[in-house]
Amino acid sequence: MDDLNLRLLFKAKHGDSRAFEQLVTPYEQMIWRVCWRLMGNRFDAEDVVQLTMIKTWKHIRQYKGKSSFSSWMYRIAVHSCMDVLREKSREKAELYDEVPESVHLAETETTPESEMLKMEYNERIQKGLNALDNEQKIPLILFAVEAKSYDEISEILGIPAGTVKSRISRGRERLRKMIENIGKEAR
Amino acid sequence: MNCMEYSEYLNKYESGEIDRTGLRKMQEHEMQCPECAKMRQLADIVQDGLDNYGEQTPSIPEDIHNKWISQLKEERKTMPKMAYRFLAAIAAGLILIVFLFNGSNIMKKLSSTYNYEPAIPLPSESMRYASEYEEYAPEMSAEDTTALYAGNGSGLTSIADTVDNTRKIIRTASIEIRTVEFNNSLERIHQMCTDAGGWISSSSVVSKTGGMSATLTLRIPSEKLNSFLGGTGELGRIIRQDESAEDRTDSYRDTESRLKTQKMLLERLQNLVTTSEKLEDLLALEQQIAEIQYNIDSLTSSLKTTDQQVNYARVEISLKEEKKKEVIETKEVTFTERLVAAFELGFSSFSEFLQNVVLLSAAMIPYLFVLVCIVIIGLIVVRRVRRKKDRRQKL
Repeated sequence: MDDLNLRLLFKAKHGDSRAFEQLVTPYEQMIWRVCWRLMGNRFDAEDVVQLTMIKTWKHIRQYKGKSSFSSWMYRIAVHSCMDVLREKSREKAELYDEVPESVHLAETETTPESEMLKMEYNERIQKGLNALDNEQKIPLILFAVEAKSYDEISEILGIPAGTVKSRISRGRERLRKMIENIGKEAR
Repeated sequence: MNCMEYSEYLNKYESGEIDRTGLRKMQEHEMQCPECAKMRQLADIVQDGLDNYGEQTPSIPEDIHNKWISQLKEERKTMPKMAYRFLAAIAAGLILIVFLFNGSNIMKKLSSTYNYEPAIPLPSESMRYASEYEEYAPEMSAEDTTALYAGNGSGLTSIADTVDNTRKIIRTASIEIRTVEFNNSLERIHQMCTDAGGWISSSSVVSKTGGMSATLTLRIPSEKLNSFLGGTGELGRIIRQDESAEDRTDSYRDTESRLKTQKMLLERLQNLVTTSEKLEDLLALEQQIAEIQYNIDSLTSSLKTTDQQVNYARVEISLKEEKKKEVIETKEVTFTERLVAAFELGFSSFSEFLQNVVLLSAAMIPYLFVLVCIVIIGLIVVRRVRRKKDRRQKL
């Protein structure tokens, strides 16, 4: 951290909200990106970005400089997403897993079957990600989409690297099965 | 290699940890085991899907910075610890700050209630206000929304109009709607989506004590996006709507030319296979062909994904239920009503001010206690010093 950021951090720790704004604004894009990828939609991502910023403000005095400020914020963002996802999974009343039949028919009329299948695979993977348990979904997105290493994920989530590896593997396996089922349905 | 070992190699392959030898072993096993070969194909599809998911991240909303800043300000106002940090000596200053805070609040509340100016100009003069704890937002009627997307408005229409068919432009839209008839609006969204020839990518409905809420991600054919958005005015009160367009033409053309090159290379290698006679050469050529074929598949998949994103716009809808009583019917506000409301607001703010003064006094008790102790100790010390002086003078 350079001198300017250290000064901003010092001021933010002593309640200067302007300094805090200057300090965290450069990380907005990074926080947005990870929140959108973990939440899967704009509205929840927006809420979690706000939650992350407020949590960072509230706990900034606890930042001791053991890791970089950006990875500390990143960790807060991931944990905020986990909290909201946990809450949502408790409240979730209904989830539409299936694409309506009429839509299948309408699409196959206009485009070649193989192309539609490919499109459906991508759609299904997105839906599949949302359907995965949070304990598989979060490490998988962090690894395959956010390009974090096993050790980094282990540090962020506070679980052993071996557990991270097995959760990612299980997540991929479930996604593979989902895709395989589409193939069977299509045939 | 057996299927169990293959599965371990597949894990390595998926996490990008496999080397050339490992890959070759997998390929050899696949020749004998079609089930395992299928597993790798599925793994590739999953990886493509994950890559595609990452690429879909929309640009950061412009207003998000202001949103968290205003939330931060609210947070600062409600931080109780701040009051304890002030010393008794600046109590008067604090009271003044509390008074000013209340005064500015009155002005703010008055202006937000009576001098509200809608962000989006409405054709009609009327507007509705939500209850006190809801944010104030103008309702866009079905006609207003349709007019906006039909080209009579400004802003959003300009994005739609500038879309060039030859360019690869990915359009995304997000809309936040409040509705009294939640179920009807949800059904209507499904109907509108099907009518437009699109589909629901994901949908979740959540029931909370405050009412129902739903988050939907729709895929609507790009050419029908305008008419779809135009119809959203019928669904309820539109709180916010954003639309964005991302031009991917350059990267698309780049991928196309890379694909062309790879195909030419493949053709050349296939010709070489027919002419070469040595087994070693044939094996090496096959290895290269497999790699090029993989590249071609990957590039083709990337182009198709972009085509899909271009052809089908992504629309995110947040639908929230609001109770009927929260909607106050349209009416003109007279001067007398404003005056009465101002008095009411004044009294409520005054009571709030008194409460703050009481709370502040309570917060001062520990400081006052310390101050009183210091004064008492000081007085005792001064008395003793005086007594000693008196004794000395007497002696």
